Amino acid sequence: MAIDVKGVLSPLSAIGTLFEHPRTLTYPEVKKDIPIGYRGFHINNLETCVGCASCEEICMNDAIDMIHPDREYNVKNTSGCIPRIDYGRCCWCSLCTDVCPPGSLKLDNICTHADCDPDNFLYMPKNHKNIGEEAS
Amino acid sequence: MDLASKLEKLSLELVQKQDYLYSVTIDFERLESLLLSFLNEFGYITLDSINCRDDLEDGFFTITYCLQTEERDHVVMIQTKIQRENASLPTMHTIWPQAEIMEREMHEMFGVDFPGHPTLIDFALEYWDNMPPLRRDFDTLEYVNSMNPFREQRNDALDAKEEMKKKREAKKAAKLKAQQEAEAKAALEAQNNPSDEVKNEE
Amino acid sequence: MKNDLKNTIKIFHGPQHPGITGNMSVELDLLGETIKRAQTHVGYLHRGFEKLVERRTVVQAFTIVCRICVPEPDPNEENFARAVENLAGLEISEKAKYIRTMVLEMQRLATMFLWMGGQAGSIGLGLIPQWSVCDRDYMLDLFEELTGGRVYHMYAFPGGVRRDLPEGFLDKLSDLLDYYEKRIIVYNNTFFDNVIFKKRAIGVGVVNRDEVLKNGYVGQTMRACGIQKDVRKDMPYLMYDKLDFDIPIQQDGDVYARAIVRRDEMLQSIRILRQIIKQMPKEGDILQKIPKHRKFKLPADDTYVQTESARGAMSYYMAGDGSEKIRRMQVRGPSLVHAYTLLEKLLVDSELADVAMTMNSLGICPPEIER
Repeated sequence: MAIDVKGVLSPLSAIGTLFEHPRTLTYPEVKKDIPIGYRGFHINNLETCVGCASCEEICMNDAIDMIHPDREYNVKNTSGCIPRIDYGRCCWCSLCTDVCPPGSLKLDNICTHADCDPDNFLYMPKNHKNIGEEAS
Repeated sequence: MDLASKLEKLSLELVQKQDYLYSVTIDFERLESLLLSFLNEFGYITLDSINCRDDLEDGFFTITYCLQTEERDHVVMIQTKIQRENASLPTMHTIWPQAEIMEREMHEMFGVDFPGHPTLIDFALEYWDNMPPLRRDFDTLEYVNSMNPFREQRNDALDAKEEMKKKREAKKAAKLKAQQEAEAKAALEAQNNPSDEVKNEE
Repeated sequence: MKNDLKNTIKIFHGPQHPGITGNMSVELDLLGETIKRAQTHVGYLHRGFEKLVERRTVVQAFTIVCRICVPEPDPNEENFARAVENLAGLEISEKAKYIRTMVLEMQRLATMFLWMGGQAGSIGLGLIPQWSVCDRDYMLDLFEELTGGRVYHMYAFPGGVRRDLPEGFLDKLSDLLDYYEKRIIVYNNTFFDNVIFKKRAIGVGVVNRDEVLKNGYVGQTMRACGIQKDVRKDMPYLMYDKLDFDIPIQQDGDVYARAIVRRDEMLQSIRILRQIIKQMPKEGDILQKIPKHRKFKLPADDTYVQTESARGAMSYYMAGDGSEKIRRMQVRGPSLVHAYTLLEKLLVDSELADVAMTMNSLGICPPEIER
């Protein structure tokens, strides 16, 4: 049987990659840019949230509960409730943000949350007006 | 289409559903012979899938055999209805080997029996002793609730519609109260200066 | 047959085995290294999608169909969206069609890279998986920008797509395609021409050509036997009838032939994507206006749609009943027949070491067998 010279020698070209720059990021120092529109954690502008519970209704995983906030943010809030999301059930399909009539509920590009207590996966969306202020 | 005229001889109608999709409806007794003539005479050699739909209200299953020719340029759905109770279908695994696994799945999910099928064993659900799960009278929510508890920490969830009603009523009550207060104030003022009223009356 | 099984050892290949393509197992009867009987078992990943869909409205059901197959969710979304459009009589705009075609081809490339990792890993070439998974990640980065998610895109919505193209997206895609073209040459040198791969793969897992059409084998399994069939050509959907591409075939029907077909399909995908980048309309609606989610009702009718996924034709049967819920959605992926009818037969009299390689080359994806 003839020796497949090309088949033996050509894989050795992989040695050349030893001198290439690695493709990985050195994570804690260099972080990946997360693009605009990434479906990360929820944020909610409480000053425009009207408490209509559209998000609760469309959520197919029953992940959203309507609860009372610590104080009244929006006078026009019809039910006086704001959404809270169970991140044990959420699938980040972003139907709730599509359906939100005032457009107050949004998805942020932050996506890290670690906790040893499963009850802390009941996530209160951050008030995104405040987030904007912090950033600026 | 050529097939339409062939089916007309068998007094069957070929319905075009989409661009590449046709359907034939047939009664259960003639199903097996029609499938065989599709395979042997009309050249529909591929059995693409066997689908089952549960029409609970009318009490039957609608079975769809999807067939394709060697060209694979269109799909013909052969549809038939069988009784939901003690449902049974002829097995096709001797003609199309892939029917064996499709029928095994349908047996598990819908409880359709296939007399003569060699391996009607468990498919995906091992040791399942409930009703076949894809029948529409099997309630998944009830089953899940009986198996798993809901997370207790979420019991403080409120019904937004109730809250809206409450808030509206509270608003109404507040408005009413304000009105009453205003009226009472007016009445009090009227009591304090009775002379004006007397004057008006005059 | 019974005598053959007398002195055999029974082992379970999977569900927790690096050489298995997911959560399934193959029960093997071994005589020495030779397999005398193989039996596929699924049930480790049954999530009941078909039942879950019945309880949800159309809009709600749309978000779970992509989870039916993990390596390539987009053909599922496309099938679901097209089935709903067929039933509800929706027409989608040309731009939406182009974007959907683009997403499907991007997904095909991403899936092929993942497959290459699995195929090379299954014969012990450890370097290729590291490279190809990295290359796939560049595609996922683009998906992240376009749809907001890396793996589950939830993008092809009934009536169009959910988001418009971000600025400069097509340029980035074009750059990535240039990179991929260069990479495929590297993979050619290190993997497809590799004497190790050739010696392992040629003549293993040969599919009988006469059985292919009758038994409903699809995708590369079919095309590696010299049958030039592809849903994109035979029953064109979206914009495929306006795009120019070939269907690569091979004649041998073994693992190596399927690998070569897949490599050629990657090049064809790149060719299709380049045409789409050129032809993509600048203006146009992307999403048809559809009723609100409780009012979106499907007529009492049924339909059957097919999409060419990266592993073969994937079909959905869908029926409505006049309410806002879907009465029945049945998924028929390529893996169902491949994992049972074909694999059980192919493995008999083959070697234990070839099981993982054969499974990988058939493109078996357990999540879509049991849904």
